[in-house]
Amino acid sequence: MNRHSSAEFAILLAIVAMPACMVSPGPSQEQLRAQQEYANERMREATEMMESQMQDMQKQMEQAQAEQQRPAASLTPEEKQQRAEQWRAAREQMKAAKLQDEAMNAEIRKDPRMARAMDESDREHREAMRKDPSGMYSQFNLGDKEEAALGLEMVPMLMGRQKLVGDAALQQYVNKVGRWIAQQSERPGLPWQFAFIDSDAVNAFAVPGGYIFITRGMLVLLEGESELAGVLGHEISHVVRKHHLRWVYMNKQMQSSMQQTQEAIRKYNPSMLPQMQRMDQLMQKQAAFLNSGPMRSTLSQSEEMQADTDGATLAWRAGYDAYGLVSALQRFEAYQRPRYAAQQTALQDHPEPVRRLKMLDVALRSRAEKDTLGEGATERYLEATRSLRERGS
Amino acid sequence: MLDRPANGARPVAKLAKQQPLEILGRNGSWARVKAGSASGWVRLLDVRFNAPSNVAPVARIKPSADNGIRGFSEEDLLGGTQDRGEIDKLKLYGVPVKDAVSFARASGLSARQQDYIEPGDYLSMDELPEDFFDE
Repeated sequence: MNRHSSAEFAILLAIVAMPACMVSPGPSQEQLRAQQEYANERMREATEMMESQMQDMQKQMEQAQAEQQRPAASLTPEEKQQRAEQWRAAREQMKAAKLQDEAMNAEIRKDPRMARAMDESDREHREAMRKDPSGMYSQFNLGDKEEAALGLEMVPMLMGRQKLVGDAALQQYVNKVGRWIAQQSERPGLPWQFAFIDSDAVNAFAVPGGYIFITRGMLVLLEGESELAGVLGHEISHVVRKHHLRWVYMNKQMQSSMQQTQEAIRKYNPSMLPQMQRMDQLMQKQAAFLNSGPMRSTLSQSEEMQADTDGATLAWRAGYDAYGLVSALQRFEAYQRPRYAAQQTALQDHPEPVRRLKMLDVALRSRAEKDTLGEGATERYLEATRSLRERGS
Repeated sequence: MLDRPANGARPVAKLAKQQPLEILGRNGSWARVKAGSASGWVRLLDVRFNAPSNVAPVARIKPSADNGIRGFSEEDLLGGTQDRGEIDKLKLYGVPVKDAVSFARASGLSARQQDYIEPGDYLSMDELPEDFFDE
């Protein structure tokens, strides 16, 4: 979806039309007014266009949402069959595309120079990823210090009224496990901090810069150090892949480009200001809309899956059993199940943890069994967290 | 149910769907289970755990794209008012790298090399299990 088209058009107008009034040596007052009037007219058109686009989009989204919220039980057999057919067709298409891709590659590789060049570029890509696995997100780099400062700003919002658990030995246990895993990542130099907070909720969080939080509820739910390692590995991966920074960067960039345009308008054509502010509001509304609900989740879901496979790999690098995270997700799925049962809908066949489990299992099975085995450290973990369990029961 | 945690292992008992099991342990992707008098190994993913009875979920603010916080799950972000004193305590509990390294050494954990699994390595639609998208 091209969400910037009409806005970009307006910005272009502001940049192209305005300075043109300024640099030409001697436009008369009438000419100037006519030019401004013309720019205002175009801006009005752009705003109207954007408004109607938004209305269409909203309607489509509402339909999609209504479809998504239909209970799974209300699907007719025909609809079910239709869905199955769609999946089958999609699989067939993927298969065909893959075969075509392979055939093309084989054709290109017939030329030994091309084959060498392709190998070389593969190797370069792998090497680059080994240094900084954030890949395309690396363009959002802030620098480690700035990133840590940004993360620290987010901590109060996250922690709220919750307290850290006052048990220094347990806090340090979590920190030692976490820090050891973080050292196996591509960003060992961050000021990694792991905090164990006093909440019944079962969750763990990460903010930029390497601040990771885990709740008492989660520690009680888990039953082995390799499970803890998998959960901490998942959170560490978000930081290593810089998943948070994409949003921070996008919001910042949008704000600054709107500000620049507004300044230019204030200077050269103040009569356009109300229109511009209306456009600004529309763009913010649209961005908020795109960030909410079904539109947002596709990308963040793929980031969650990536954090799962990376988290399992990081735990394995640290000497743990890679399946610790699978086991943790299974416990989490059981914990979530009563809540998901009430919300099963037509499009979302699987509750989130089940989808994640299946995906992680497929990913881990692409490795040799021996490359997933490692330390479970169940007894050490149960011993370290015994005081929590005794209090909980 | 198999006699050892491996794909070519010998079946020792047949389990019914939804049959309650006791989990005795885990070895990588395999769980050692007990059903009645029989015990053996099943794939971890074929087991579903019982919902724990003693956890009370609380949902307040959702982590979202807007606030830049990523959570293990999309629910249960804690929210509420700010408390600087608690945040200053964070630093008290942090450990230097050398402590983490000696902890690992004492625990018999040693570092190993492994690349990440990239989606291209496994995420090919035609290789996903047949029932991947089924209910």
